[in-house]
Amino acid sequence: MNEQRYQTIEQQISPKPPIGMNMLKAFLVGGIICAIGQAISYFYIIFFDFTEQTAGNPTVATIIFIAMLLTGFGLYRKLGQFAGAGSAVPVSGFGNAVISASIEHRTEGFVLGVGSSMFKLAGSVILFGVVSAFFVALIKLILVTIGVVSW
Amino acid sequence: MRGMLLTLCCCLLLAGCGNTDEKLTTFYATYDGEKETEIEDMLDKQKDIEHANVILVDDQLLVAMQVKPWKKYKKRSIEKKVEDELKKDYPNLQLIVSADFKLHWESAKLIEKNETKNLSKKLEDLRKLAKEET
Repeated sequence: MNEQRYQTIEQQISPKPPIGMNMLKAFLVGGIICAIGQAISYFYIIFFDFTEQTAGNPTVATIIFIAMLLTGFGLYRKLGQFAGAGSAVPVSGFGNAVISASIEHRTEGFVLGVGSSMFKLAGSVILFGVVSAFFVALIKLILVTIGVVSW
Repeated sequence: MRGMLLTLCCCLLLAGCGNTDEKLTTFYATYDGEKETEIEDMLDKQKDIEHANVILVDDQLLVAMQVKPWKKYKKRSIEKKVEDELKKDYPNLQLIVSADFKLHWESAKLIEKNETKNLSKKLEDLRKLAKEET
């Protein structure tokens, strides 16, 4: 059997993923996570001395912490299976990536296992996050200079 | 499940239609008349503002606004525009103009309390909070 024929048969046999349904699930769960984030943000604004501008930092930290706890208890895996990208794309996916890598490598010891592998997945998130933040800031600077938006 | 979702969607839609409140809520420690009406007229004319709380104590004027959802990207420029207009008309007033939700929430609480005691100090605290960036 040549490679082309194998691929044709493979495409015929393998079931088609329900793309529309998956997108809907991801949209709904991602939206719910963001709504929870907004609620946490309002909690910090109303009950503590945070403004809309400064409430972002504790909100992100709280969501990551909750995602880490859920990962530790094995609940985030179930959410990930259901929602796919809807649970991975929001910032909660970052907490999940850190803790799941730590759990995976805990048998190799605290330093060489957990310590060195903790950012195995999340390291790329940090790297590309920093790089994209730089470019977004650059675009915003240009837009502000032109006068399209304000800071 | 489908019924629940439909009910939730209906509730959210209806809740969005229920806002018929007035545009301005005001509190004046000392009422002069002319100045207050002018400030109210000026804020009433601003199309980008959904609601604003106005507190005037001695020489301190707080305007805490909530801008319309699609105008939130231009929040700072709206703040600046309102502040510039007020500064032009009332150069002697110490202005606090903000479109931050925190200031709107705190000013609503101050108006609800309806007390002039320590109000000046509380406005000063809000001024510091509005400048906070970290």
